[in-house]
Amino acid sequence: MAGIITLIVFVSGFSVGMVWDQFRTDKIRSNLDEISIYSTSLFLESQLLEELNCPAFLPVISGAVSDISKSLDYYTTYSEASVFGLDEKNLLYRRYLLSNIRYWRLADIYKRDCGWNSTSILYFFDKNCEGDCDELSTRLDYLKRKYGEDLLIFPVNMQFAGDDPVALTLLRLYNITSFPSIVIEGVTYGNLELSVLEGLVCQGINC
Amino acid sequence: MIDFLTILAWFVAILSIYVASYYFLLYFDAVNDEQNRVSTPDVTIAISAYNEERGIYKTLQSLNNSIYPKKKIHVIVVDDKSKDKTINEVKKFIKDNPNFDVTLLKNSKNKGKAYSLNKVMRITKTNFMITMDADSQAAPKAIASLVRYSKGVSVVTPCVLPSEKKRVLARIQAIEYIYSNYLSNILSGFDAQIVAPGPFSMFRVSDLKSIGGFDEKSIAEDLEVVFRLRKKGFKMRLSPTAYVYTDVPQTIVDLVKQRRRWKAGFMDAVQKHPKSIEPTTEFGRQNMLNALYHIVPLVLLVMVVKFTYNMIEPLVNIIRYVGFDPLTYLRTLKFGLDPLAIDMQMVVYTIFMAVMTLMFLYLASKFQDENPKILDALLFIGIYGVAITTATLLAIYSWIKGDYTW
Repeated sequence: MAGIITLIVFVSGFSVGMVWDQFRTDKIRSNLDEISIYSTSLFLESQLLEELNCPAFLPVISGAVSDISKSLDYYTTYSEASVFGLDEKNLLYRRYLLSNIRYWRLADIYKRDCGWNSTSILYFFDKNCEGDCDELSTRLDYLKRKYGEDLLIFPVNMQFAGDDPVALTLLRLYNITSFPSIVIEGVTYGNLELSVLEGLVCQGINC
Repeated sequence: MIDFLTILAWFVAILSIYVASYYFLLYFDAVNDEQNRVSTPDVTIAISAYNEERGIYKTLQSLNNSIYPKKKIHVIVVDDKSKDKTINEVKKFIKDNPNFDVTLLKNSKNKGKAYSLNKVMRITKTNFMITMDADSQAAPKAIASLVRYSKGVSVVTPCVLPSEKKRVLARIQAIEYIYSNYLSNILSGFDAQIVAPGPFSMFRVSDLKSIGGFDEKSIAEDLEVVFRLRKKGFKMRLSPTAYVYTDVPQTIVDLVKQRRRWKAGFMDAVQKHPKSIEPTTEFGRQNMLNALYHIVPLVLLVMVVKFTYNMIEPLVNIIRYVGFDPLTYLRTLKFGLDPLAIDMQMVVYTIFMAVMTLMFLYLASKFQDENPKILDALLFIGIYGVAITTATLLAIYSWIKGDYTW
């Protein structure tokens, strides 16, 4: 009888855990939907207009990049908290990745056309580069905290991006063969010392 | 993802839910009827005293206050080569109470509690012997209440409570004793108690002699003796109306030391009597669950180490790869709780265990007419958990080393 009670309680916990995972997936999905629509809208706007309304647009893009970073936080936190693994985990990541890349492109367009003083970094990593990736992640996180919205970091986790065509194209385009790698202003670098990295960041934002 | 730690956490959850459900069900089946015995046989009280000058007089006085017929109580105090004034205190009591039968024996060397109790067992002429700790006080009805439950059993045990409950640690331990007494009462209905508490337990002398008395090498003689009595098929009961009050550790360090000794004593006894954990009887099932529960602190240790590592690793990385710049981090620090980040599965198990714990506390308090405070109960869950986990880990370490010293 005690065994049956144990089974009932354990299965109940299990079921609640699975329902919770579903809530997590739904939240990530709805967040990504929002970001995706917004990024598409901005992207189309930038393509349609001959001249961008820079003063109105800059705060928007800056806020949007912050939103996409929040979306990655959800994804990472919920993936770690999930016992059973999120539904459509890789698909969700690829959706995030596409929005991420779209914002990266948008940021480049607005830097060029509006003279936005900012530095954007594409950061490629995967699970097999733990030591070096920890090192570079810690430094990038520090610089992001230090320079705030002037520094835009677009992480690409190749573990989840897998064989997404856009991810593979980026790897090819920037000649990336190992991880971690970062792309700053079109140039590819590996792991960098803090001072060197900060120097590169400061070229774009006049620290 | 399901990793090794998740599996360990599930193991702890399943075991805890099982144990809670098991005792919950036992509660409904337990019967521990009073036997309405009216006879008042002669009883010997055996007290082993080592450096007990502070409490021995009070202990003897509590026996003198008993409602049991004075002429039927024979107290034998064995001084275990005390270095303080224990002997003087006992002599003073004898002088102050000439009509109360108290005998003082002295060991030539410090031989330990079990040796002293065996000494009394060998010379006593009564059928029943109550072993009593020198730092405990029996309630006036305690002896009579033990005798009332003695028919057909070898050992009758009391409800033990701390003698003072002013300090927080004592109050926390009081909650543990309330639980323990209640559980013993349930187990008594199934003849499944696993310990005869040192502060005050009554033995049938012939049965005790038949197993050779107490093990003088054991560090938990009150538990080991039960294992051997059980082996011979002797029975045990708890008297729910016999109360004894004992001094409890006043510091966390002393509490951990005491529990390490108890846990190591249990492991020692199981090692000596491996059949005692065979789940063929209720007694065996109790020991098996008890033995199994020793794994939980090891699992908790692994989880605490992993948790600490996860907390410290980012800080170490910052110092290593970035240097010391706390202001940047403090400036961008964010607080907030995302409910979806919570491990809801474990929350369900925790709520179940909390409900069971509080329900047991309510029933146990009602059973003993005690009224513990909720704050103490919460502290009990926190402090006791840490102290017992530490004590169990130390005991396991002692067991691996083969070191069973006090």
